[in-house]
Amino acid sequence: MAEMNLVNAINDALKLEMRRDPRVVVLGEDVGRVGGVFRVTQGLWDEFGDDRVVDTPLSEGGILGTAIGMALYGLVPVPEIQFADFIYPGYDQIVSELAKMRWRSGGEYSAKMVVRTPVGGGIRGGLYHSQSPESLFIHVAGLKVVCPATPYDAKGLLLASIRDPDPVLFFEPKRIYRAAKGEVPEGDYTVEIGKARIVREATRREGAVTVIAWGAMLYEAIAAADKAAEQGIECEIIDLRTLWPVDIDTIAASVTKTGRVVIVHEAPKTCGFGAELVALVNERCFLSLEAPPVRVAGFDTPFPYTLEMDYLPLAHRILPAIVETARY
Amino acid sequence: MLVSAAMHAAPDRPTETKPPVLGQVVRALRDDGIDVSFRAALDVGPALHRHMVRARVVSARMVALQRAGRIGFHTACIGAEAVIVGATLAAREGDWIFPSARDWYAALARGLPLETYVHHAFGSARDPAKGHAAPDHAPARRFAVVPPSGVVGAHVPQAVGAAWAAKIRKDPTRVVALFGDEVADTGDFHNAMNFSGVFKAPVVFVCRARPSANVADRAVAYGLASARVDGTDALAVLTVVREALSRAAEGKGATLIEAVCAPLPRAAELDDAALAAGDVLDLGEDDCLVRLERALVRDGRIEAGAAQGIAAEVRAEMDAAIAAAEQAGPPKPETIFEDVYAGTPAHLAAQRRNIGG
Repeated sequence: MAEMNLVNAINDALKLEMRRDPRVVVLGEDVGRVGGVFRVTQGLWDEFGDDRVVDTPLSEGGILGTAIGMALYGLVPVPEIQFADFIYPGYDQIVSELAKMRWRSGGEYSAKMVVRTPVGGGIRGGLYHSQSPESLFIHVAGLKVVCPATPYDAKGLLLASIRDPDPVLFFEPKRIYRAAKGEVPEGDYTVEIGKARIVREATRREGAVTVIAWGAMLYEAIAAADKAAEQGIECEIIDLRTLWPVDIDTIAASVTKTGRVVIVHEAPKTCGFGAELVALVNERCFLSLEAPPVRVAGFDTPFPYTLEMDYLPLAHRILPAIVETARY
Repeated sequence: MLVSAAMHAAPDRPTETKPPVLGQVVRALRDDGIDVSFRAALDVGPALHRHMVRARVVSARMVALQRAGRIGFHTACIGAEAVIVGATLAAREGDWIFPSARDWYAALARGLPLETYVHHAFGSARDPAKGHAAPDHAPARRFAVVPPSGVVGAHVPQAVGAAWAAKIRKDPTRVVALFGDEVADTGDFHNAMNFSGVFKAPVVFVCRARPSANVADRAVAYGLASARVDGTDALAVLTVVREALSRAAEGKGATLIEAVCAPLPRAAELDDAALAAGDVLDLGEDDCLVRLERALVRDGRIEAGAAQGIAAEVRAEMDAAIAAAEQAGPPKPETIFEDVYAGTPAHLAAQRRNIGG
């Protein structure tokens, strides 16, 4: 075991899998000699060379279009999109091509790849370096969507994603790239896609609240839960880890127990993933609910530069939602 | 025959160093016979002819089926057979082909059975795409043909990626991408040209182009070789694509070939009676089929009237295939949920239980 941050853990997973599987190639803008804008791919080009770590022209549509062709041919591309905010020029290749290749060919072809991209705000990046577009991909049949919050999960989920037979959008919460630290095993291990993690269990039902979060907002949810505990409110905190296919069984078991749920995400509230989670909770847990499910989310505005800490659903916005839900 | 950005060879004299002559169109078929520099392609002449007749007759029948509402969709290839068949037969077995929907015959030229193609057109229970995709988007992995996309141009950067992957793996595989000149308007076209230029991917772009399109000229900007070829001249198309594939195999990178032919679909000009009678084998002096047939007959490679015999066989084959497709019926309802993912996630399993009430 070694202490790593998210950047180290993802880098470690890439190196490990590239050594293990010669089909794995990394491509993107400045992923080679520079090692990526966040240095996530640092050292890969030195070890694996031009053929497997490729600096591409600045065109997300070109990166994703060619990566699909590589995947059709039998390689396992791991393209990096420098910021998720820039994924839209390649959105058609993801939605119309990558997601549908297996289906439209009746299972003859697949274009298995992992699209890595940093998401989220809080790094003074403004509206083009801060977005959280997960809903736009969850809505597309054929994709899996993963967003780790801890170094352990980042490595294990990335290894699982590269080995998964389906295309995976791997969202990396950039605000905690270096801030999130933890023990990471040195060798090979995977974290199963589609399984949430109960970060903190509620010991009793009465007055307890389920809090669902992922990525950087997990730590805000934990901070808010700590404050709520001072007021005698117990929280059961769930880190989704995989957003789609979502682990509805873990969510439903928790909400059935607590009867109360607060969902936290950075993306705009309307049609954000929280909306789907509320619908699923209502379908599964309606008769157990003691309070209306609540979303604490980004606002339905573009992501602001100056007032980003006011936009983000930080602990000070989550806490009142927990308290109100607990006392409803 | 190729205009290399580095060599600037004239289209009809590859050994001479001259400024690029991009406007010049490569032709094999001349009024007085076949240009001697294309005679090597003549051995393939009868196969080209057979496939072009087959493509023509199948497409005419598909237009009629579509007009009658028996199938939902057809992208007619009438008038473009020389490009589609010429480019496909230029490739070796093992080379990959990325067609657009209008290039559907590429899969049949590679060996996809006509009956399978018709099952796909009807979306029958024996459609390899399981009724998921509209006609002319058939998968044919066994023949290294990728199913066309419904998004115009989306497949062209993918063709570059496949070629690039072959290069990374040091495979001898080369890739042919087929598309129409409308693709040259898309961002995907730019991405494909740019990435193939940067990575010297072994890919050949074959563009069916209207005479005014001027697609080949753009190759210069991307550092690609190019050629403009008469798209109604199957021997010229085959020869130029072969040459571009050899160049790709030598590590010299991609070539953009503009195959100039009349605007498509010619099928729109055909009346129902002509289609019903299958009277589509002579569409005039600039018909690619007429031009090839005349040259091959003159050279003693095929008998005069050979097309009629081939067409009769194909019509009978189509009749049987249509009957089989209609008899097979639609796929089972639960096939909607197959191949979304490799497995069946819980939410799809739950939705599958609701199908059919």
